[in-house]
Amino acid sequence: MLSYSGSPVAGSGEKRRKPSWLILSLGFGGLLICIVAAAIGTLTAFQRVRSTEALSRKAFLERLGALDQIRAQIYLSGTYVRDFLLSPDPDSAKAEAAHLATLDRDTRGALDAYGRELEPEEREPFGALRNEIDAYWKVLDTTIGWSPRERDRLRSSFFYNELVPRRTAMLQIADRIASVNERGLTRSEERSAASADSLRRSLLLTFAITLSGGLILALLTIGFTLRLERELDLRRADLQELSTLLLRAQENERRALARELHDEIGQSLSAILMETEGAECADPPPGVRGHLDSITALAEKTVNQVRDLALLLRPSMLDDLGLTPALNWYARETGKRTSVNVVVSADDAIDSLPEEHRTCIYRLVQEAVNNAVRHASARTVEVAVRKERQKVNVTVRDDGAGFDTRFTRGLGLLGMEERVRRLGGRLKISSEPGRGTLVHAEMPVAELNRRNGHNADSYLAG
Amino acid sequence: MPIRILLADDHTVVRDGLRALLERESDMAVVAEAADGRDSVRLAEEQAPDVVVMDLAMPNMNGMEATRRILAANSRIGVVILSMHQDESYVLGALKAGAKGYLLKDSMRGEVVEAIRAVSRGRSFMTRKVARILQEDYIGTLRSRGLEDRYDLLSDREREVLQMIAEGHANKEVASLLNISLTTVETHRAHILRKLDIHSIPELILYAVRKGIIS
Repeated sequence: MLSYSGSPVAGSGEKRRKPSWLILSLGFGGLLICIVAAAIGTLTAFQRVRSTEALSRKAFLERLGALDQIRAQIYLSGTYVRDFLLSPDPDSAKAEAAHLATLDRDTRGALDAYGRELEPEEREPFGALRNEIDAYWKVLDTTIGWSPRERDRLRSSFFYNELVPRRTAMLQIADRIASVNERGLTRSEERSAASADSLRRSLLLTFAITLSGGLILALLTIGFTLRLERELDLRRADLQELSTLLLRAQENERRALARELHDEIGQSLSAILMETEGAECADPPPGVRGHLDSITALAEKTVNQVRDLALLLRPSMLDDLGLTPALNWYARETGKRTSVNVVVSADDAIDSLPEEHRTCIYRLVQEAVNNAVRHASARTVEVAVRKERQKVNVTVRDDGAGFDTRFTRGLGLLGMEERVRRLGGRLKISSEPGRGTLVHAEMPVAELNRRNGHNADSYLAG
Repeated sequence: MPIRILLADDHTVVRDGLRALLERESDMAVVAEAADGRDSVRLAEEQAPDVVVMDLAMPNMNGMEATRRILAANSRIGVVILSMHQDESYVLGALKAGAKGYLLKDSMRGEVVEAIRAVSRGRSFMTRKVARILQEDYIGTLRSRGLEDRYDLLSDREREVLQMIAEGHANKEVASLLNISLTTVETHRAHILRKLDIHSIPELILYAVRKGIIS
């Protein structure tokens, strides 16, 4: 009945458990790292998209500003040139010329600044603009060199033939550049939209990976837990079976030992006693009579010891006469050994209980009474065994010291619990320090299951 | 005419010892030996002995059951229990089964012969040790439960009747011995049982033994 596969199973379970833990912790760790990495990646990518967007917008605005500045300077140069050409006074003409020089410098600065970062598309119109502007300024330089008379004479033809067309051309080029610039902005916006798109895709991918990883991990964990639970159940069943077998083996051994002591050794001693009696009747010489007397005394003492030992191991009443006589005997014995008064009240019906129940109840009462006597220093212990329909109730109540049931869990109590649970019953122990102890067990009894009871009696009743 | 005896014990050494003891007595004859309960019932029926000396723990039907069956078939047979058991549950069980004598294997010096003679005359015989144990138990029980001794409730006449019943006399014998009518004996008997809160004759005998009224 005992499955000896118990320990190898335990061994392999031990072996299996370690990699499971490894896998699980690696899985959980990996999943966590995945989630954290995904979060960090997403955040940085998002940040990058935003900053490139901001940068390109800023660059666009700057270039737009620079172009506007160039445009404004071109307009302004026109005005200065006009003022210069119209100014009759050489001093103010000189001032206008100085203005123009500054403007020239500024415009070139703006052009250089703009020219540093050029889109490939802009390069051609920008070159044209620069050439136009260079040409323009060259023309202006020539103009600055004019004498007042030349100014008067050439003024209007310069305006309409040089300045305005050049300015218009420059402005047109500037507009082209502006539109190219704008296209650049659109392109960079498209780029950032695309990178946002790829960000979304990678997010989705990460999410999918994490989700499936989590799912696999969850399944693994569930499987693992279920297996552990199954193993635990198996192990628990094994343990229960083992303890059942142990209890049964212990009981059988006690019974066999008690019987051996009582029947074999006891009977041999009885025979010795009869032999000595016979020898005494045969009128032995006085020296021998003394020996016979001491043999008799010794044999009588030994018979008594053997009987007591046998009864303590397992009272023969339990098998010969039933539970009530056994309980009564135990109560009387306890009363004799200690000053504790044990009162037993039991239904007659309990004597026909199955053997397992009788043994269980007897051992339960024995343990409870023993506890009451030894640990609780009780004065009175009341034992009641009642059978009602399909169950039997056992109560052992003492007036002793009691104990705190939360903290005390001795082997004795465990043994009682085990015995009762084995028969499908429940054990309840209520006690409080100073209030005595009540042990209550309730066990189901199958009405027709009396086979066990008769097996035990086979020796006597056959 | 010797007392015809049947020995029932599963241990050969015990039977041999008993036979050797009893065969020294001129008025006793061992007519059969049984090694288990069932055999003892069969042999008792075949041999119709006067007395059966019976062990309690035997294979194939224990001594109590065998006693019950032997007496059910032939109530004139006297049964003396010879056992290792000295607990009152065994004594009471044997008395309930109808045994008239109860001896212990560890203290039967000279008592076996005495008990067989007493039982063959229809009287009870309880070994001193059992009587003492039962009395001590009884006194202990009385003391621990703080109960009064109900014996004090009995009248002198009732005590006389109690002793005779416990010794194994039938109502009719008691009536003629005490020179009173059978109805009176029966009334006394009912009073005794009620006052002592006893419900059967075996219990009454046990009570008498405990009280030391008989031994």
